[in-house]
Amino acid sequence: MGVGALTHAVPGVLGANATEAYLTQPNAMLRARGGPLTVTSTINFEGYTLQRGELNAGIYGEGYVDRRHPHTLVHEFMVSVTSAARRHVRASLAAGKGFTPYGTDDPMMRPLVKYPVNHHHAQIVERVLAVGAVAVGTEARGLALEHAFFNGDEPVGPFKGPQWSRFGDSRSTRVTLMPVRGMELQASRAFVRSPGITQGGAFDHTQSSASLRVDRTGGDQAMRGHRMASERRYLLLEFARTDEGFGKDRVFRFNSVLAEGLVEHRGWGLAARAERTDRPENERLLDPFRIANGHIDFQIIGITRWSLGTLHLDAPSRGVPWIAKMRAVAYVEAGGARATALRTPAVFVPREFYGAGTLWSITAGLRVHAGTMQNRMGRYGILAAPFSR
Amino acid sequence: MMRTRLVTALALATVALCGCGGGNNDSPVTPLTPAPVPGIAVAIGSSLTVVRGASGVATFTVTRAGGYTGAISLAATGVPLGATVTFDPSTLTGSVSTSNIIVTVTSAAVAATSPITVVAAGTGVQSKSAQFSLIVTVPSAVTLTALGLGAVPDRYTAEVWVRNTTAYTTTWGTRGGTGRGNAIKIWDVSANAPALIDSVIVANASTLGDVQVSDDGSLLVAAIESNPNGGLAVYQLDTPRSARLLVRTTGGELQFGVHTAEIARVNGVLYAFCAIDPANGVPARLVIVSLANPSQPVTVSSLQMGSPYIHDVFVRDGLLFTGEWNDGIGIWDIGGGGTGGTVANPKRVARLATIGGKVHNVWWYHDPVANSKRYLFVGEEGPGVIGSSSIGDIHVVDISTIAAPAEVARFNVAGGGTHNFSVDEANGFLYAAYYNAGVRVLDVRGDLGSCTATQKTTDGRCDLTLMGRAKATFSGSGPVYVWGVQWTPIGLFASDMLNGLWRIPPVSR
Repeated sequence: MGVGALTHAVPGVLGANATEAYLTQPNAMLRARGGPLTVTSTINFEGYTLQRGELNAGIYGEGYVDRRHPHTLVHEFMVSVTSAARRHVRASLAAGKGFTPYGTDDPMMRPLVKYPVNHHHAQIVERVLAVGAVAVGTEARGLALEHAFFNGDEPVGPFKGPQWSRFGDSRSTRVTLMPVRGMELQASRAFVRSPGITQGGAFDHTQSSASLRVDRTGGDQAMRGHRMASERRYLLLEFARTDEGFGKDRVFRFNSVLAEGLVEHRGWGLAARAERTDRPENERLLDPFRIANGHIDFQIIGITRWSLGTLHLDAPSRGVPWIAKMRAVAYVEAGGARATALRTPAVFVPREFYGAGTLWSITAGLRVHAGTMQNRMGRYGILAAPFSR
Repeated sequence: MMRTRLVTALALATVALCGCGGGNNDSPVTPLTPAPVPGIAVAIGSSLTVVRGASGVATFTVTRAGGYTGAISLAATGVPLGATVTFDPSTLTGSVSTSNIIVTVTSAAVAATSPITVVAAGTGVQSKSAQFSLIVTVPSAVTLTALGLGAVPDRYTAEVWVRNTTAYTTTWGTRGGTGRGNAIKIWDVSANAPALIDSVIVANASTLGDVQVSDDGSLLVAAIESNPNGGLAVYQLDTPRSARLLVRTTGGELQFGVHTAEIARVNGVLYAFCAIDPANGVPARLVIVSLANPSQPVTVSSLQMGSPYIHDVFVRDGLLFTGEWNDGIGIWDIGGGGTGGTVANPKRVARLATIGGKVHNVWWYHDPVANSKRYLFVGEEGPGVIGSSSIGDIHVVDISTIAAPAEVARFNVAGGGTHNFSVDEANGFLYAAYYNAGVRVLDVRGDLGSCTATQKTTDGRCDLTLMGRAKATFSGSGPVYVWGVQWTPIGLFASDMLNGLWRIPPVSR
């Protein structure tokens, strides 16, 4: 899969408009199953196509700000073993590199192209982890509990490996309830040791997430584009919080609330997202879209509340001429974002830095995929199915 | 006792007689009155507050009764250590009925409340006493008012260095979209208000930290903290106000960002001691660069240290002191420690994890009056939001035994955190930049590690505030965020990220 995108941002930063084109989210995804074993792999090529990052108002993380960072080449490679069901109870173990059982789905598998600001509040990805899970229920209704140990350090580059010695210094737990088919309630909590500095010693993160996800598809359930086709209705309500501090002593708190939805009808898809997320501000480097990867001390230069609204329209999926089994979806996406300083006086003044009170952007392009698409990402073992829909 | 009863009985009889008589008093009766009893009564206010090192006066009043006219002597009991009580006058004679109680409290007295009893005694009368509370408080710090401001509204100001009548300030981060932290500003500070003379732009920089002039006045060196464009900028000072670039380093270990660069001469050679940020998975380190040929800096030593940062260092008498964040302070022999260490091969002498960690900077204080080199002042840089909040104490470490340093005292400002120091050693004053709390001045002369139980923190350290060591405060006239401070014989200067360069009157004894 991959997404071609042409983005025009008014302004980007420093009062300057920007128009840029990308090949974003280029992934090769594999899921192979043999008996109780399942291998889940996503190879992400953004390290080659997105080194400068992708314009994305408000986003931050891994040394990038207002541009989404490229993910690592091995986005996930997980091996899981799942037990047979006994009286509707199943269990699984999974290990490898991938998503921790925390928060909501990877934005890459959601309706909008641009990422929400809360990516680092609501997902913890690309860690070396071991996950244990137990679930009770059926495909229609059930309850699952996952717990994982992983390394706290965030990736420091798309081709850099994790700190293996830090495996196990962080943990997360997620409870997922599916009361009826297509509805899912999730609550999770994580403790992440020093994600900002690989050697440790930076702020620890205590993260919390809760969400309601409704995904109902009528008629044909075959995959088209990135999503289930035909008459789909999708809704996600999400709360996420990150407390930065030392162990259990909180220093800074960042909250996020998000709502997004999608209505599909006859192949046309209309999606929308509203989000309000608090973001720490750090000193910009010579490249104003870059910050130190990790803090250089325990001070930040401000806390900014981002309020964003985004609309997205998909055209019906089309086959790509001369390339068998490849399909493309044309889309257009427009958004507005406002940034407000929560601490004053501070040395990051959003209106001065951006040169405007509201940041507008419009993106158009094609989503392209070949083969069978997964509809979710980052759930392993018994959570991959049936809790995957 | 018998006399009193008799008088009372007679009085009752008189009242009874008068009542029987009604309005028909043909024979008036003269009432009997008791003979007056000589005595005294005393009075004093309930409390007297005296600032340590000062005196206070209360008024003691004596009322004579029963015709007593004798002398009354005054005395006090319960006077606490460090306080003395005198009376003016000490004996009340004739018609004099008041005395001033003068309470003098030394600077060594304990800040506490003590009950003092004043006893008045006269011949032939019963002594009387009255009690008041002596409240000893520590002196409040003097508020300093700026002499002048060199305003920098277009960029955020970072460090300051002053030599003679010229000051240099660096700039930091991004302000207003265009004001990058790539300028070294040169000031004329001969008058009260610093006057900007020039701005030197450092190529490919977005944040500058330390700036310093070499001891001979020939070089100006600035630290560049802009990964991957970090490094050093070295200038030749043809005149103090004319900086000519010799070299702006690129690459190497300095590229990850030079957080601070201390310039010091060891065995006749000038070095830059550079604290390097952790970046891209590479741990923090101290890189020592020789400036023997200032156009061609050469790395002579690189030591991984700090958890997770190393922030600042201090060099004196062949010893190197390092601020190693959560690892505390490090003491290294680089030629003066007697363990064979050199600049090229520093030998660690000691390390102390100060309470709370987050060690940013160190100053080794030489007290010429006490001829003491006993104390290190250590700055703790806690979490905060630059521009609006900060936290972190000054820690005092006793290095009487240099291999076994011990933390003995601290200074805390509620709602403020310390950053860089400058010490007027001859007069014994520590000037500390305190970010949003401005500048704080501490009296650091003498013994900082001995104090009374009431002057200690719960963890047993002496509290410099309770010891009355806080001498002065500078808070500006609006929001400030003071990065650095430098005392020089011509005055005191403070670099304020929000406002620019302040000139402040230094304190004196």
